[in-house]
Amino acid sequence: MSRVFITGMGAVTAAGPDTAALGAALRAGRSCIEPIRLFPVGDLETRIAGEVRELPAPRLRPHGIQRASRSDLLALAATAEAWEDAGLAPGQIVPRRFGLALGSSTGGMLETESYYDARRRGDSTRALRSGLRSTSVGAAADLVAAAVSARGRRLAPSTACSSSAFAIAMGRLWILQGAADIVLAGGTDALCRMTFSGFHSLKAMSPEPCRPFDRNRRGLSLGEGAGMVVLESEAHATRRGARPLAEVIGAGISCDAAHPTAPHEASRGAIAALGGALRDAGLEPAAIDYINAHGTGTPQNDVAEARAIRSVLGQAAASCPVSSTKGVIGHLLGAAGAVEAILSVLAMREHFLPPQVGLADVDPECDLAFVREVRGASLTHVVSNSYGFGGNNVSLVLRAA
Amino acid sequence: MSDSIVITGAGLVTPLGTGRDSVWQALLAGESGVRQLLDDDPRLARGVDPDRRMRAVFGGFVKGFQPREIIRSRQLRRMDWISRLITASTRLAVADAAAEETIAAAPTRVAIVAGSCFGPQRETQEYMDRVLERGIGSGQPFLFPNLVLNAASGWAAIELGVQGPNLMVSAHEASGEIAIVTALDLLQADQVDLVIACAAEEFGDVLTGALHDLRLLDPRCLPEGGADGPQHDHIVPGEGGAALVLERESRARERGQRPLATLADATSFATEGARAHSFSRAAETTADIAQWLGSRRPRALVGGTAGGRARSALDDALRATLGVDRFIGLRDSVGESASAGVLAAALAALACSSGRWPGLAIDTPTRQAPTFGDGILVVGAGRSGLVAPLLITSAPPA
Repeated sequence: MSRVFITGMGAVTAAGPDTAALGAALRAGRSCIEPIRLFPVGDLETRIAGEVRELPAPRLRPHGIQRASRSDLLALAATAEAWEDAGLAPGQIVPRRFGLALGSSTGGMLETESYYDARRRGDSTRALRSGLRSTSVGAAADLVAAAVSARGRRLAPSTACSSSAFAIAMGRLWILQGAADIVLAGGTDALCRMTFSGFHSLKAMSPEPCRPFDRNRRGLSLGEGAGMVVLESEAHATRRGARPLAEVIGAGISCDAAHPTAPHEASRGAIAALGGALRDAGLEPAAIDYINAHGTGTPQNDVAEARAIRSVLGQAAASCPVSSTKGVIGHLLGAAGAVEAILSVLAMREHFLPPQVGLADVDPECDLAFVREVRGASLTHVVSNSYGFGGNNVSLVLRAA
Repeated sequence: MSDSIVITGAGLVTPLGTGRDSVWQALLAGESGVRQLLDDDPRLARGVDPDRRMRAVFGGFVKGFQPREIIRSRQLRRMDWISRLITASTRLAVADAAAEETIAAAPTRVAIVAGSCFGPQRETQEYMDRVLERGIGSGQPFLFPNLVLNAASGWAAIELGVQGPNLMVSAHEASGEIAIVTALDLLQADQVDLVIACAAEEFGDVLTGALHDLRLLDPRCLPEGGADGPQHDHIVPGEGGAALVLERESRARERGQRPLATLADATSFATEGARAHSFSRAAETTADIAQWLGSRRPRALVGGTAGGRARSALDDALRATLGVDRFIGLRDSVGESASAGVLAAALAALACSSGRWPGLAIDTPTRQAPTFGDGILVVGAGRSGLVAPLLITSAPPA
């Protein structure tokens, strides 16, 4: 069976325009969750988010970029970095063997909101082109595909906050099946009024930077950004002399089929995803050196995830380092899975354990071996968990190259 | 013997009717589901669209759809319209495939892959109108969970107890066909034993309003109408949900289920020079599909379900180039719907299963049933140059 390597990575987050900035923020344990500027939030108690302060200047400029949404631009920026990181050049890839899986939860909703507002004011025509063209969550995939001439399989999956982790799992599947030699996979989501007001209405937002797994956690912090990885078959990577950064060796995907927003009361789906990913990777629980938790900071999610980790890892859970990195960059929704997979690879390559920022007093129901401060470690196998509305669960297993 | 992927059930909620047999019979009878919105339409009931936010009065509105008669979940009242379309069509497909026990026996080995271009239009507009009017703190907690694109597939999972992969895909006018291609990928990779591939689109004032602003909407569709009559390139939107049950032939036979048809092949790719927001040229797309078909010669084509004039040009080119002599122009029957690719595939499967084809009366036992050569072609083609061709053939005899 073919092996699937990650040969390039790109991430745009509140920490900065690239993976280096993300790695620096992680190592420093610095929270990038600050007062939101993108749109007014009125007198809400929660006024902070992991906002990308300055969009990187586009290095990829496909036809139609002038009408790109913020979410599209984030995806293009992350793609440009991943493309360069992988050392790819035009002509190296057979276009029909080049796939793209780009997940998103809300796509260009920020711009669509402007269209709604324009229509409400009876001024829709001017706003029409830019507003509606970005409505589809597949819009970013179209632009990215055009930018890099990816003409093979294309998928814009939406599984809420596990969308980009699903995209990576699907990209790996295409390569294992022989449907593609190389796949750009990841996700993008921009902050927008809809999600900000929505999570506020669910009383799920923290007025302070989120503190996942803390006894006194008050909810999640939203973020925005994009993460893209270049997945490549071993044969293709070898042929062009690519440098493997890590290997994707397992994926588990499940659905709770229980509640539209809350996790299953016994963590059924999360257990199935994590257990399935370990079986797919052929690993025993004791082989896992670090788990990057989904860890949103909401009471239900954190307890459910801790229960799943304890259930699947058994005794190994007591010593397996765990952290959620959402206290650093916020919850990137559809982009979270890819960005967190990327920072997991950074941790393996740079030999450190990302810290759990803001964790002061561990919730007894979430008793795990949390990484409270950044520390050096040799990591061979790491897991990245992603969960989402609709009861979606994806766990990825990565191996150091 | 190769273990092919077969279609063992279809669930349809369409402007031609609800349930696979009524839809198929209406299509064979040459009926059209494009009509005025009726006063007793279930969406006007409390909880879905009581204030008639959806202003459209003419279009491809679903017919004979009473959600409470199909959906068993007590959470029905929480589901928005597109979730009801998805959930009902998947419930019907599973019943048609007699797959309830298979799902219950191994729920994590079953997936739901749904397609939609625009997703939950109506509730998104309702939610955002309020937020934009009253401020960001006025979001409604009971609406918000439905605004996530994959909410509908999540409701279907709850309804059916399906615990394997669950996702929504969006690929413009090819959203339905891409859902089927993804389902095939999951089956061929042995990730699951059974997939419910489905798709739905609902009416929304944002889409109809945008088409109106672009002067593309048939003037009959809005209450204010228009003095000008409809023009040939005007769009009449449609809505509906469709679902297929896909599984390996060996598993279907094992559990005694006779397949409707075989999904002989399916893929997706983009044409050369594909651009975001634009359709590729018909000639180039046709050449790519001909190359994919190789020596296979399908004699029938279920025409595109959305894309206006660009799609008509593609259907014309496909018919002329591939020598297809059996054609269903679905848009005339159900209106334009970006996710009706699953409906198109279901009709192809029903044609294979029944040996019948709309427009060809087969009412005497002496008349030979139409053959479809190497199968029936369904082609999803979206703006962005993404193409998803499906080849559907008769299922092999038991």
